[in-house]
Amino acid sequence: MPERIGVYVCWCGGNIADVVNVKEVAKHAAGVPEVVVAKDIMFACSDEGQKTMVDDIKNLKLDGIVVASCSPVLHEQTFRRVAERAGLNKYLYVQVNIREQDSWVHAHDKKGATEKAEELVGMGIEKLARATPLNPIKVELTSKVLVVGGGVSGLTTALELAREGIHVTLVDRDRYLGGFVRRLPDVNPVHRPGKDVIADLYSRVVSTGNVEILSGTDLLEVSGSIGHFRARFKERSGHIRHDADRELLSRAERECPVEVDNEENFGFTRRKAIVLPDDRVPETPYIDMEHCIKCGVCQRLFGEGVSFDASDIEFEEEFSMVVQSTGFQPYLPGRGEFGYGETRRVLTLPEFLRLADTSGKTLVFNGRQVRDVAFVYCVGSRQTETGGPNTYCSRYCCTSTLNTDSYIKKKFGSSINSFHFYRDIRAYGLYETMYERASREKGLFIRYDPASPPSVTAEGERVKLVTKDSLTAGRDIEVSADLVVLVTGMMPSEDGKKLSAALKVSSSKDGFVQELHPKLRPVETTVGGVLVGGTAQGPKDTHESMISGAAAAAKASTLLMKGYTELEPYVVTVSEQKCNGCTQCVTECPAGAISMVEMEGRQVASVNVAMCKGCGACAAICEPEALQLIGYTYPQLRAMVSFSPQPLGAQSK
Amino acid sequence: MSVNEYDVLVIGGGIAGMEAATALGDMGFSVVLVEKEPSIGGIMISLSKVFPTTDCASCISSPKVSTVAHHQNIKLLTYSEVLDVRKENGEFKARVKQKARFVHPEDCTGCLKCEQACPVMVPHEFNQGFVGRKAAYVPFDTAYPRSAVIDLNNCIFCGACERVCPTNAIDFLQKDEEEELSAKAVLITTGGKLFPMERKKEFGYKKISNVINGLQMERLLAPTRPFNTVLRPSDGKVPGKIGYVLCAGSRDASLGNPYCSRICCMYSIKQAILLMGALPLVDVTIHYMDIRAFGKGYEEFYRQAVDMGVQFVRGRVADLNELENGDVLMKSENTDTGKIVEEKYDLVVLAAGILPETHNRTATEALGYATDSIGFIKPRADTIGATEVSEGVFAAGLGTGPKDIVDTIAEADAAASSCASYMKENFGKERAEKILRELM
Repeated sequence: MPERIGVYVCWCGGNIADVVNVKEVAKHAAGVPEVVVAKDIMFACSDEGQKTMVDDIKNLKLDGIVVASCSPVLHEQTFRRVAERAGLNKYLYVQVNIREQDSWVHAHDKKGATEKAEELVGMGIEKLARATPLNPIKVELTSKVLVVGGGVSGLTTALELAREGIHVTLVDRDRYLGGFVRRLPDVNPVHRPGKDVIADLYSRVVSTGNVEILSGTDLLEVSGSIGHFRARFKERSGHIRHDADRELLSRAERECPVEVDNEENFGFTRRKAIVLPDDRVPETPYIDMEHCIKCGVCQRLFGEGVSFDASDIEFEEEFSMVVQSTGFQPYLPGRGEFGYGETRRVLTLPEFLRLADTSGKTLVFNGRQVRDVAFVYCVGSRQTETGGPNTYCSRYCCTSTLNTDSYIKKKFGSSINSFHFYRDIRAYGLYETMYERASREKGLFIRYDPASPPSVTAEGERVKLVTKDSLTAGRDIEVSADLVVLVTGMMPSEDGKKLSAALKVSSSKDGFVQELHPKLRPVETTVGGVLVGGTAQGPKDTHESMISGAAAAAKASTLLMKGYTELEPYVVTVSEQKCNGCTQCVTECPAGAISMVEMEGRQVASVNVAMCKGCGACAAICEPEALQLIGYTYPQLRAMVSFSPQPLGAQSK
Repeated sequence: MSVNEYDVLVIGGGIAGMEAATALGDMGFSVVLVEKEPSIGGIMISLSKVFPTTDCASCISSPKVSTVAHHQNIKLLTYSEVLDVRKENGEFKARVKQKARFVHPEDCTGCLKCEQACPVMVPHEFNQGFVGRKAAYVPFDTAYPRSAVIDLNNCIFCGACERVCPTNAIDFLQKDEEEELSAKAVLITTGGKLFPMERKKEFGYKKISNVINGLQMERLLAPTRPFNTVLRPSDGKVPGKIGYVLCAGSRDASLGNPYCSRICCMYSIKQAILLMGALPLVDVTIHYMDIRAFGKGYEEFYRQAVDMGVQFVRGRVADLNELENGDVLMKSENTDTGKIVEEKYDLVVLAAGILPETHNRTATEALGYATDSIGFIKPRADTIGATEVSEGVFAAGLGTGPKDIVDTIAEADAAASSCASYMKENFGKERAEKILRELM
């Protein structure tokens, strides 16, 4: 146990030193018997600061260091590396947080903050003086990744990993890949149909030979931790051979007597019970058994190629890492929200895009040609004023709408008039030129105040929108349109929420996956081995989702190319002698890492080290103190709690 | 020559270059990172705090600096410039100039004695000219390498630094050196710079003392800020009323920049929030066209500013004029009222936009990537979500368009990933496997 301790109190520029008297804190720490050296440092994390510590450890033969600075979230790894570079066991270092937990919250009480820092540092020293050298737990990583979700982001992650030689399993509940992008008629900024973008990605993914694609497959269960995630899948039968003959399929589709709304197009078109891929990937047909009446038309064509009672296949596999690319779901307006559900002439943007894509040379809705289209922005986003649940901006919608405006004018001619009821046009970066173009193409922009959003009412075959336009100093504006398009935002998907819950991945306030650091680590999650790509993390457009997917691949490969990872040694150990078999710890453990085993005729607790997260919940309630959290042992915690600071003056008296 | 062979040449050591180099290094590739400034860190390390977390920028970028500095797979060439790159047999050959520091960095301990001894005082670039630096100086507190450099353009050759240097690290005879290196792929992270606001004559930048740009305000607010509070330049008065002009040098075809610069709304909102913390009595008014708070948590951050009392006025600013007492008279429109208004401010901040750094385009011409009219690197035709801008050449960060730090990090990681894929496919055993598969 350390007897020659170095203490470093960081100024953090002015972040700490403006409030805490760091020199005083260092002086105070120097009074503790085990402390050999105590210094204040401008930036402990800077190279200069690190060098000071390395030199001290070597020259003064320190056997432990305490750094009083910011949160360990920021710099624990930095200072561990300092210890390592100086030849010290990296766990013989304790970080004391005197910034987030002191200077930032006690900015108006400098004396109190300084005393608190002295106390916190003293506790850190007490803890370190009872610490032992530890070694990280090494986990081997096989080169096998599970990507959940086959939209642009998941496909990009799979592609990048596979190109790097890593084996990927890509699972999607949908029978066809491509998620939301598949249904976009014109993808910004390349202006190609979404299904082409997806088909290209798909063929590149397939050509790597490293990706197992499980489309039309449910992910039933997933559990485990880095290196050992177990997933159980259910591959739903398509009831027809994957490689069925194309011509026969077309014939079967023609002859199938069942016709239902095609959900791919929100019911703007109809489909049969036998479904053809129709430019979608993978190019496999299926029979929709929910609507199939088993008339046998297709069976007569394909014989044994069709099997109505083919069963789904369930199987399990193990992966070393998981990438969550579960995407988003579009906000669905409530009934009456901007007239939605009350008049058929109010559509959401995703619905409108399918209408436009499936229309011929003229845009027709309900038998009438559409000439005037009104877009209402920020539906389901930025709802602070309206009291809705979504306070965030959905990022993609402004540019997507501007792109849609340009697309319909290109497809149906410039006789279409567009009206944009917006709050702020967020055509950020290079997308600004789209805004400029939309104005040039005679789009009319009307800026509404969220306090008085446009009212939308049916008026015969048309819809009337009324609002005050803040661009013209609040003048009343009335627009009559053939169609109203509600520009709906993004919501976290239900599937995504379920997956996050199963993997114990945290969500941020907006419900999307919480990234490890909002600025620096956008594709890592709070759970080791689980990465996030695309809109599962937050709203993004197509390009950004792909970038995010590729970034997730990079973070996976940094570990997988090394072949192992190291986990914290802060896990719980059991003293079987002390254990009284009460089983309370089994109930308490949130990770499910503790079970009861029989030993010498009695039941005692046993800990699965790979699953233990080191939270200490069990140790806190273990009455006989049989469970001990390494790195936070009972003697360490007791010494910290009973540490009582001696004011410097009192010591000398 | 084997020492000069690398897998990847990364040009630019800002946050994008550091992130990409670290990712590639972690994957086991050998990387050479070339930075033209004496220290790596780029723009980010000089910022105050970042939005929307208000983490201190220096605190969260210095670990990145440290990781790059000590990475076993990264060779760092600071104060160096790529003179030219050419492609030969699928590999890149680059000529790199190591500029003379007139200090041997391996001997320099960063003790600052030379800096203290030097009698020459010139404006300090890192502090946006608010304070001076010496001709012999360490670029900034958290610089890496923390080695002095002598600015020969301003040096008076008095020899004071040489006399006080305890390790004899100073060497006035040092010369620029050229080095030839080869790499299998190139990653361009040359970054960006602020729009030169003096080009917008109406705003009087550099003529009106109390009109500053966004990066200058960053320094006034940084934890290592020069005055330890916010003072206006003309008379050192603590400003009571501060005005922000958004879209300064952005969304302005008359200046040849039609683009939105993506970050100015957010950094202005952040500065407004920080100003309210630093100067409890200050009034901050932001003149805007559209508030583009589009990233994760940004809209909420904007709401926070509104709730704290930051005023938002929609309408463009026409011009700024200096009054006798140093105050700035702003003429602008307010579209909510439809009126033209004149308002006096103690200090006006131009939320200047972003342009690509004018990196030596001729040096990289042979790499065959395209740029747009402003100089931003363009993606290859018809590609989406790609960072490969030409075969074996990848780009990320401000060089491909304005973006904030988190988007820069994502793009840098994506570029590292695509670069790794390219390396594996073209130079690794995966190539052999692929050929084999295609044969079968």
